[in-house]
Amino acid sequence: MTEQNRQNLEQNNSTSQRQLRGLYSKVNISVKSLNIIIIVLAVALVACMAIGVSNAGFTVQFDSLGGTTVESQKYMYGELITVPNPPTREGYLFDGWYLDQNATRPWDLENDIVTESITLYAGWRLQ
Amino acid sequence: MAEKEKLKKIGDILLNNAMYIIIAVAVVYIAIMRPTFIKLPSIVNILSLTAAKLPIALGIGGCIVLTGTDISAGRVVGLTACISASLLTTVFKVFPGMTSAAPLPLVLLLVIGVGALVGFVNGFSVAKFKLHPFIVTLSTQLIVYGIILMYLMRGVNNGQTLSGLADNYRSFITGTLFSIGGVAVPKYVLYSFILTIIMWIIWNKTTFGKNMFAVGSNEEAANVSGVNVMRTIIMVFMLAGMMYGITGFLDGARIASANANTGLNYECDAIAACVIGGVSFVGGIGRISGIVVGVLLLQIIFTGLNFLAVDANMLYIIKGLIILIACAIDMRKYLVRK
Repeated sequence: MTEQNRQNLEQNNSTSQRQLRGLYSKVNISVKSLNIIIIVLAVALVACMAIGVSNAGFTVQFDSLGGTTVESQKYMYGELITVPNPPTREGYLFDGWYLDQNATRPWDLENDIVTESITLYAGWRLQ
Repeated sequence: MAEKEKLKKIGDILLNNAMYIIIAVAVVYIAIMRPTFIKLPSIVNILSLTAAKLPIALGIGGCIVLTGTDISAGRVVGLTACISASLLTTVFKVFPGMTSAAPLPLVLLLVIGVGALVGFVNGFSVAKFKLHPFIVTLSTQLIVYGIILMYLMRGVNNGQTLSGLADNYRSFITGTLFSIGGVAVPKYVLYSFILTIIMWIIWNKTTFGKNMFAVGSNEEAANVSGVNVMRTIIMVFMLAGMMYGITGFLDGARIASANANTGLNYECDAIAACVIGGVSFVGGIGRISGIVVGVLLLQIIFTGLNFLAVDANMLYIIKGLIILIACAIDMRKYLVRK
């Protein structure tokens, strides 16, 4: 028996701590250390939420698929997307933004609201 | 001395409920910042999403009670969603020979069967060869993923997203159950409710349920007292598989499409929900009501963070931390219990 093991055993006996079972059966930890871990993790969790909230905003990217570039924008939850300048492309007519490259699921600028980060693809018709 | 005892007690309560306290504070903050969060449409939305994610958590809960886990869950949901979406459709890309959608009950039985089959493989390997559920379900997860990809390549589908679902399938699941204040509650909320009641009865009122807890808390003792350990383990995993099958069936219609990524990471959410809800990795401890609360709390916090427009990347980190805290609290509760 190594020194470490003996110490652990003595500690267990002195505090009459229960041995963990199941998936935790290899875990050997005191309640005190667990308290510290819980507090540290809780602080980390709150910090992550705070960072997330302070950098809030969903990025909406525009892929003009060969047309002129449209800058990506940031929106909050539930906002409508406004595109100041529609893209242009030689020989094609722009017919709106779509959620997929094949232009099958259109994005309704007047009714659809932002609920997550998305990429919109330009739809083109041959001129 | 009494003062010290009192402080210790308060500390105990604070630490054991740290997760609930953080979530409660976050909800209050979100409600103040975004008042629409606590309006009726948002509440109905949270309840519906909770109902959608409940069956898979109810299934995984049983595996956790056995001190196991099941990480194949999400992929089984994906496979069964793809099967449902390919058979109950108007465009038969996977089976070009079909002319009309298959009958609903038949497809439901089929996906429950597929789920049960994967569950049987998981359970049999765990019970017979004493393999750790983690490694068994990891391999079935990969195998099922391969099957999904091959299934989607069938016919003329060429791996594309399955959509164009049959109307009766969609209305059977997302149709309006009833409306409150002009907000429609979808039918799958009812199905989820029924499943919860069935699982409650199985866990609390049947011999199988009692055996499950006995095997979970001490396999050898259960064996000695005459419990068929092997059959119990296989049945728990099969029951879980059936729940994934039903989740897939609901999810196909709920999302209105299915592809290779459907169900991805569902098991993470479900496991997290179970641990938050007090289903302990110690084994043999857990309640259905706890699972419901766990799923609901996770849904509330993530819908809330979405309302605050927190980036999806950060949500993964937050989810990971929540699981760690839940485990630490779980261990603490077990250690300090006299």
